[in-house]
Amino acid sequence: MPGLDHATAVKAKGTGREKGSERRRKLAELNLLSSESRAKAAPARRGCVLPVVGIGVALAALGIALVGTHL
Amino acid sequence: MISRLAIDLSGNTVRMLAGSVGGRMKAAEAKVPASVMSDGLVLNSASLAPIIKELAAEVDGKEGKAVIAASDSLASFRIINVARDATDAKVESLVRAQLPLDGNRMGMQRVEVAANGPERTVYAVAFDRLKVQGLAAAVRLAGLEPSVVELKSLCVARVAPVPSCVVLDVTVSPAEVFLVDGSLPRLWHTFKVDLSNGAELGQQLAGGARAVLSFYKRLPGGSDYPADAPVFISGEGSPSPLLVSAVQATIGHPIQALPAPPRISPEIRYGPYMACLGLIMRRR
Repeated sequence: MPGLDHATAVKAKGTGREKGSERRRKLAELNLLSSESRAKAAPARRGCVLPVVGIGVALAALGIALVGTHL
Repeated sequence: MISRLAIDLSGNTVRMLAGSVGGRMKAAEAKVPASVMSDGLVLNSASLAPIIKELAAEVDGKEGKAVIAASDSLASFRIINVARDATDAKVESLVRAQLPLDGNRMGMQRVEVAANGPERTVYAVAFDRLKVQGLAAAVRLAGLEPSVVELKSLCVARVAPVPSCVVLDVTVSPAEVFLVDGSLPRLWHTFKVDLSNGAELGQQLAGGARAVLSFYKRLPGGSDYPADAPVFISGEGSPSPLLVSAVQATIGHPIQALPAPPRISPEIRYGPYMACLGLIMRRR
């Protein structure tokens, strides 16, 4: 039927009345944000590169300065 | 039970409920201009944030974390039965074949719900990442931390008092209808309802319920759907006996008002706050 916004193609078996505990197990829970939080973890690692670069630049500058004092 | 701050951002009214099942609950709502949010889609986060912030203060939402109900219009879901011994890759390919996944725009998630003999039941959803992020961004701007975004249909399935039923939500415009089977949402559909037109209200509600029932019963295995599965009307107060009998005569299934979920504060209008209550009832 056209016009329906969602349609599930396959139906689960066993639609009769169930005990409360059994039913609670079947209740789905999903978090649409959880994949985003994983994606956000990746850029955070790139942030760690900056201090390393900074230290490298500082050491190079120190080396140049030391060479300069010898000249 | 953990105390939560639940926000329903699925419609044109923001509804917020703070508390826990069996504990104290406080609720508040605010209608949002169409230029700010339309049918669950955030159009202006900066204007929506102060509304959320004000409601949070009203319900004493001291919790920094917020759980959010999103409109089903932002996503598509499927329930798929797979062989018990199917590999993860096989399940992934079956899910991807059935969901509309459009490159990076759409996110996809799935969860195994139950094992039925030789089969496993998987609930899978494809959602518009940007639109879901838009909801989270507005909540973040209001000074809260969005921890969960879940579709309203899943919240409704949690509130539904029986494993197989239809829930008509007439507190929103357009009205929504959810078909639940095996405690899982199966169909979601919207339809126009003119609440002021009492004479034709029965026919309008019957039309909404009949659309999903007849569609579902034509699906493979759908003929097993219980003929006595009730249709619950979720609204403000109870529907009149005249309305109930009019709808029942048309669709053949028993009609009744959605009963209050167990251990809910009596002052909570559980019809309009159905999605928030479903969020509060989450196990995690």
